Amino acid sequence: MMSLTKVRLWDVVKQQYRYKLKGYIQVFMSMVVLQVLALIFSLNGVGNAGASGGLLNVNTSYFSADFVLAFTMLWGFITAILITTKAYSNDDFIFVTNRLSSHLSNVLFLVTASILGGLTTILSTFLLKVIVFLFKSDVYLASSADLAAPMTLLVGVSSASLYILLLCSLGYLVGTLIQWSKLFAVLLPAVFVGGLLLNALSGEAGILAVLYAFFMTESSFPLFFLKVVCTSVVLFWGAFGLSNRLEVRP
Amino acid sequence: MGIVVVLILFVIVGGVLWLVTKLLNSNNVHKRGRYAYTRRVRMVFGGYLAILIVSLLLNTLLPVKGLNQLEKVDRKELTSEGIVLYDDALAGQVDEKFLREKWNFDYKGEKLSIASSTATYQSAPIVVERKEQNDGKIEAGFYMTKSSMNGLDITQYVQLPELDLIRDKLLLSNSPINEIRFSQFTNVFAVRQFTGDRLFSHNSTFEEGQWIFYLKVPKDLKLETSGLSLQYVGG
Repeated sequence: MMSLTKVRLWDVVKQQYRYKLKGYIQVFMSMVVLQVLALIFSLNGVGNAGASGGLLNVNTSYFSADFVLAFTMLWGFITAILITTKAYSNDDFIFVTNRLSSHLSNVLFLVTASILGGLTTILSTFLLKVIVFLFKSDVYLASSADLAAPMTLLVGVSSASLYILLLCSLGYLVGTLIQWSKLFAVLLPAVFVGGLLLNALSGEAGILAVLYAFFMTESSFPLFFLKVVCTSVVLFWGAFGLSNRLEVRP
Repeated sequence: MGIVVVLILFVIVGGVLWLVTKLLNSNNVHKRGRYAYTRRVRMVFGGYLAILIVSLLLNTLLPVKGLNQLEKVDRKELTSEGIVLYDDALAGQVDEKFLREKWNFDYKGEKLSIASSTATYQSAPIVVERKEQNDGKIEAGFYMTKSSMNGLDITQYVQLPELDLIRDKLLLSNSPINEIRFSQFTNVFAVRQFTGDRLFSHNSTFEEGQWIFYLKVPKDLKLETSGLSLQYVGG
């Protein structure tokens, strides 16, 4: 069938993006569940330190939303993989579409999901504080984390969102690889876990240590932003390229 | 050890992956009643976001116990105060500003045994000053300089020892036990990497103040101890 209406790419992307925000809304339910679960884990503290003098014994518990961010990053990874599956990607054919518009709307959806994930992760720190203040009878030591400074909040939300986006882009590439060949569904986890075990056995710093050094030890936010955005663009681009090799939908 | 960590990590990651996949697949977009479910998700997400925003507001309103009362202290000053307290005590001129607890006992006996009911005071610095007369009174004081945690004065949380005269025995005990639990919030690691804080380890500095028991006893009272070491003023 031929269409006489000329459709602009950006209009299609916008339509698909709006549709995906409504159609994929269930991913936010799983995010809430995971964040609540991570908050429960965080109630015991993310670290403990003890010291003893001759007379006093002191024990300090540290609380932060580290688990929440880690879980949300994993959520972003899985969500990105899932939206590359046929069950989700076939939804795009409701619209006049091509692969590029489908990918662009997916990327926009993942960026939105990352921002919402980053925002809720940073805000969950305050929920954790309220729970600990109300239900634990310890003495609180002041720290810079007690100041809800607008700049800290902004940096927190931005960097948390970037971390989630990074995992989303990785998940998107992994998902596309699996769509390309189901062999990767077995191969990738095997290589990842096997690599970790081999590194642990040999005591060598593996790829995770390299990635840790590249992203997590970066103390300049603009540089971190550039690193994450460039890496994500490369990963998304890789997924675009791979999907062009996929079979055309019958 | 490394393998155990990797396996634990694998179990956690696997668990999260399974949970997310199950949650997402159990509510597939193609399922019937999608719109009702969409509304439910909106309500849950909106409710969660509302709770988070209320928590943010509560954080700025809630008075946090212990957080605002603790004063900053100079660690170098604390160290020098400790040395001064100890030297002054041995010289018989203990500074009363460090007095935390005081006891007075009437005692007519010729011998007194000093003992501790807990291991805490086995190495306690006990300084004894002999009075110039036999007045039948024992005066005891517990002196302590400030203790600090991360540069904050935590002296108010120190439980004072107890001292009882039981027949011819002066017994030291610590009830309740000095176990202080602190809580500290740290920023999420995505913020810590830009603030110069440690990423995945925590650093605390704890300094216990110098403490001594100072006893003023009648001139000719004989003192005995079981395991405790006494130091005499001017001796």
